Amino acid sequence: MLFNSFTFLCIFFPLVTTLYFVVPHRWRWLVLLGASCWFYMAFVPVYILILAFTIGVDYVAGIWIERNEGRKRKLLLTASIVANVSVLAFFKYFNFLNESIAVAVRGMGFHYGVPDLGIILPIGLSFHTFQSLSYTIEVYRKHQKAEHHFGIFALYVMFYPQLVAGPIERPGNLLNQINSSTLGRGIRSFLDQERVVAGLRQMLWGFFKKVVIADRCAVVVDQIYNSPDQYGSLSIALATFLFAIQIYCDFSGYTDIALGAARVMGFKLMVNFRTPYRSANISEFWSRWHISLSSWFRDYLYIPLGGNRVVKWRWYYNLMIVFLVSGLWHGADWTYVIWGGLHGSYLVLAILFAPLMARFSGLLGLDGRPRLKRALNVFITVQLVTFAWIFFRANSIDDAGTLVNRLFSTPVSLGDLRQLHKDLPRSMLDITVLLVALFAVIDPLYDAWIKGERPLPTGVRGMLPFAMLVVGILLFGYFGDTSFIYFQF
Amino acid sequence: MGRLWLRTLLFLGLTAGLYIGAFMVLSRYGPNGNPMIFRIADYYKPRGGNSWTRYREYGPGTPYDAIIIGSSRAYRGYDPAVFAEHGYRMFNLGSTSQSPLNSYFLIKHYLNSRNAPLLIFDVYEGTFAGTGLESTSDLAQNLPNDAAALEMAWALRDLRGLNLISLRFTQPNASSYYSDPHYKGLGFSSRSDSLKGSSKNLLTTQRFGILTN
Repeated sequence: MLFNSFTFLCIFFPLVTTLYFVVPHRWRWLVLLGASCWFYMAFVPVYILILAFTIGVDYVAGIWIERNEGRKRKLLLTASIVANVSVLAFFKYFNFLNESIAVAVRGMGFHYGVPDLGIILPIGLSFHTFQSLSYTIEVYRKHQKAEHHFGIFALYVMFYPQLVAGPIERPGNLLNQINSSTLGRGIRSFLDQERVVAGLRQMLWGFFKKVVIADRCAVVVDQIYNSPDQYGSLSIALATFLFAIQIYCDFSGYTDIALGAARVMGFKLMVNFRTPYRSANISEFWSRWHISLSSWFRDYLYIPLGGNRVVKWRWYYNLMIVFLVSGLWHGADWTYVIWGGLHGSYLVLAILFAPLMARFSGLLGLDGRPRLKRALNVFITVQLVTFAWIFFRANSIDDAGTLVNRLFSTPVSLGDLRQLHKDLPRSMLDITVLLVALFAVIDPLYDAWIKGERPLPTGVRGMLPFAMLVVGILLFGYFGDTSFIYFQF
Repeated sequence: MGRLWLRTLLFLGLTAGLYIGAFMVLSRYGPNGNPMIFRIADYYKPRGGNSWTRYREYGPGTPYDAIIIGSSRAYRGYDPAVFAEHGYRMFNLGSTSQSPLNSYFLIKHYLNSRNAPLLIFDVYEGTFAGTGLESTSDLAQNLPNDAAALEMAWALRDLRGLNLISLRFTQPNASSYYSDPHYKGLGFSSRSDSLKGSSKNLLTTQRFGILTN
């Protein structure tokens, strides 16, 4: 079930929210668990068994880890990690590995006949696997008590707003909120007018980003990325910048809907985005983009590897490992590995050249002009991030190569853009570019309002910006057959 | 709780007012006399062309030997005049990218056992893959039957379809903006009337405006 579908908006969300507030507190977990099963089973019903396996393994592992000490405790954690990663590896990486081996073996002139698995990737598999893993790791670290109520634990893994595309929650936040009750097992939250309105506002902003910006950008981006050899540098550059906006609006739009839906019911999920394209370097970008994933990798991979408290070469190695794994987490394809590798390389190069850049900045006299310096750094960071998106979006390594090659080798020509305009539905290009320009202006403002970092005007003046979003959706929304990009991960 | 309802009503009223205002402006003004409403979404198709003529020529009370429905492949592929030479009375109710859903509503509102003992449903796989917006934008504007147009727009589950139907009902007296010179009668047109094809040029040469009877 998609957040931007009629079923979710007109049936699922109103029904579940109403039921949630109507039933006694002690049964709310059941309403949410049932709703989460319904939500997940709307995709491929039988895949609920995969979730059941993950939940079952980690529920038992959590309790056993808590009861044991020493080596056995570590062994149980290892078993939980192996079980979770095996499921992920089987469903997500088997075909990738098999194809990679086939290419290598056939390249050496041998026959290779192991067939691919003819299955659809379970939706949101990487998200709920990581969320469940964070629980057993936190119990192992004694930061979290094991959950003894199976239903509550299942709800922690399956909570529908963030089940298929995050934010990847931690038990310290979500599990404790589910458990907060004074009357036995139940969720203690009341129908608070301000909170409900704030949640609905956040959902609305998410919908706007998804259907007005992301899905429109997708039409232009798909046109070029599905025929990479048909267009020149100007079109490719435009499409890549639009993809940067598309993926931001698609993913942060989903997150806003998830956070808003949870907020209506009294849950506070973690913030996943903080206007990432305003980052002045790649490190800052990763502290503003998909925060729940980057903090997951920081806490459970980067720091255990030694983080930056090691010799320099090892630090660079740690960074590269984290970003290569992050690339692979996103998708089982070499394009994602290159994308992750590029980000890792950016960070390593930034460390290596930091003294040189500091001298260069001094020579240009930028140190005395911090705002100009930041603006320049933001500009450079956006270019680097956008370039890396080429590999993220390209349909294959060959396509990515073609796009990069044509981006830098074909002459800049307005005829190229005219061709693109002709190939797209009427006025799609002009209106998309206009809407994206408008979005760039309003995004920081709405983001600050949604997060409560800037006060909204009171009364009708406070309603006006959100009424305008509804009108924007009604008039400019794109309602094709569109899913959320991050669902596939 | 009462205050929440009051705020909700106020918000809905404000949104409705803004939407109506924006809609009025967009459906009346635009560059070169082209109302912006036609430009802001894919396949927004102004009233007119062969669909406008076809569904007005068709009389649901007239008995035919067969009715043809389907996409442009149908209305450009089956010429009832050829069948008439062999003594068959036929009418072609095909339309641009006609989706199976819209074919269903056409059958529901325009056909019965008396006027169509035989139905030829030309199936083109492309119409199963698309969103149906191109077809609905054409039919919601051009069908003389209000109920059929309304049902099609609603069934699309796409706000662009609802904008189109709003346009139809806010400008009930607007006539056809353009005509298809290749329309031969009995629903048959010898040339593409798709926005993706030749009529795109045909449309741009027309001066748009709010024409009323």
